[in-house]
Amino acid sequence: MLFAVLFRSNDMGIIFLKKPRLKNPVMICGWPGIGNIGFIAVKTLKKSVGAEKFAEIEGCDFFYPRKIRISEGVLDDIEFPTSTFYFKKREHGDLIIFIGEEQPRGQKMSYQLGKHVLDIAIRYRCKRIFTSGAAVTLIHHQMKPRVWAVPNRSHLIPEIMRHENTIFMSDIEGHPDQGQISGLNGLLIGMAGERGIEALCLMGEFPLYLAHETSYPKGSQSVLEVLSAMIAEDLDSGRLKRWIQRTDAEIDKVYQQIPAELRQQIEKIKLIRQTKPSSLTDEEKEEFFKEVEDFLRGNEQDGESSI
Amino acid sequence: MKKPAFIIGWKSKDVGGIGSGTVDFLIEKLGGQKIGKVSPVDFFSLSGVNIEYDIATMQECIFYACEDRNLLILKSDEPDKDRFAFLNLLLDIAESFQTKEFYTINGNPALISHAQTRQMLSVCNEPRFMKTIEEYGLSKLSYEGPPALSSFLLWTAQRRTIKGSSIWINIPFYLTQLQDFQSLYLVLDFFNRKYSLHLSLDELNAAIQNQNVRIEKFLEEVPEIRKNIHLLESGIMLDNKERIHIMQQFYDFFRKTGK
Repeated sequence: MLFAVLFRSNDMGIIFLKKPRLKNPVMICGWPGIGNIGFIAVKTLKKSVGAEKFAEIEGCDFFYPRKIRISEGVLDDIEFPTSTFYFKKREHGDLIIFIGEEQPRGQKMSYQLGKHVLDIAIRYRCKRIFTSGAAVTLIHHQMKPRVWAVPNRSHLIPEIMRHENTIFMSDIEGHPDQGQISGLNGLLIGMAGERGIEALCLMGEFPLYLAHETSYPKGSQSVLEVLSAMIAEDLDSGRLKRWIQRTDAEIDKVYQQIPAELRQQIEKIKLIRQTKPSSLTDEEKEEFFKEVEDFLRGNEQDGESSI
Repeated sequence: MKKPAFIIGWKSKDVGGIGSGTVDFLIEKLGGQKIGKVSPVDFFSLSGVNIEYDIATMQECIFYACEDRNLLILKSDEPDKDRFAFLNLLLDIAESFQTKEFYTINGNPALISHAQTRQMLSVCNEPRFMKTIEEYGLSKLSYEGPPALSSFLLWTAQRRTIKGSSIWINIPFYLTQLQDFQSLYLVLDFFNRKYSLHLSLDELNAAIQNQNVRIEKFLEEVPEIRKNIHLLESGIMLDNKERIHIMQQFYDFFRKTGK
């Protein structure tokens, strides 16, 4: 691609397809992770606003290729997981959307990739960066997931609190004021802070009894509600809603197949959210976790997939 | 050395022992001298030691030179991390020797019997180089799917305009964990002709005969496997369970009686 070659910037490891002029952009980043909550949210946003691709990070430095094509004894093409930047011009502040198809393996690689993303943020003078992920927690899949918010600046807390359905880690029973966001969704907001950019991570709740590989669009929907309010964007999430209906139906189907006693235990999770956290005693909690664990282990032994 | 050819044998995932078998033979017969190694710290997981065929084995990446025949040889494990940097490092070293071309040697498990002809295929990162290789009887490979490290190396070298080829030889699936001497012969014969190495392959011919005798002895003991191998030769596919059973039986027999 000639265009790509023309703008290839070796020192940054970034290939520019276009160099848009952007005004006061905010950057929104998403990588795959537990339940693909952040990834789905950011992809839905990109599609909804009709963002346009303008740059990508060279994959060879970070990833093993996922596909190769060889024709008649000659190497034709190779494909790496993509890490792509998109832009959308708007009256009330432009958007840069970054979508990474894979997270690099290893801390050094993650840090390097994060640096590349921040290089773009700094180049375009982004005023704020959002990342998104999952918060694995005691939530029932029939309930609306809340959004855990972690900013890198304390002055963002009051602003976040104004948005419905948001929660801070210190609000969660049993959680101390300290924790960790694993992966690039967490690392990036820390790195952004180091480079003087305010950033926050929005994490949709994910039921702890679901397999982490299960795509959980319901969590993405909650994240998008907060995100769209914070960036003042009306989103078309019709497709996402239909996906949620399908996923809910699938999870419910499996849920009905699990033993009644275990289901009763899981049902108690609803009480935690509807009443005070103390409605489930420590013993009950311990029993619940043990039963879930035993059930999942039993399923593994049977060679069946867990819910 | 003056613009040497560079031959790479991967020790990891070495189907039919073809990668390490080729470079070991060349190093031994051509008096290859160890000239350097890549430190494992940056590219290999050092959280413990690997066990291969019951033997603790440290991962390694060692360069040898066969000055008389103008060959640069690498015997290496596949790296666990920073693969792109690792491949570029190998190419830096190749460039420092002004290497004219490189080869990686790979085995491909195939549903063929030990008595059937092994097909030797090649993929190059430069069409003219493939034409040269074809003249030595190698077929053109076509493929689409996940890449092996050899293919990633070809692509990395292509970006640096370094000419290279991956040679892939079909190995009977039940010999993938053993040394397939027939395949080894074919690969070495190719290098012998291509670079006028004047290597005697008599020793390998003897090893092939010996291996065939041992396989025959084994098949006499287990007629059920002989029957399945006959089915395979007549073009009837075996199911996965049957294949695994045959592989296991072969491996156990050869391990007990020496590989």
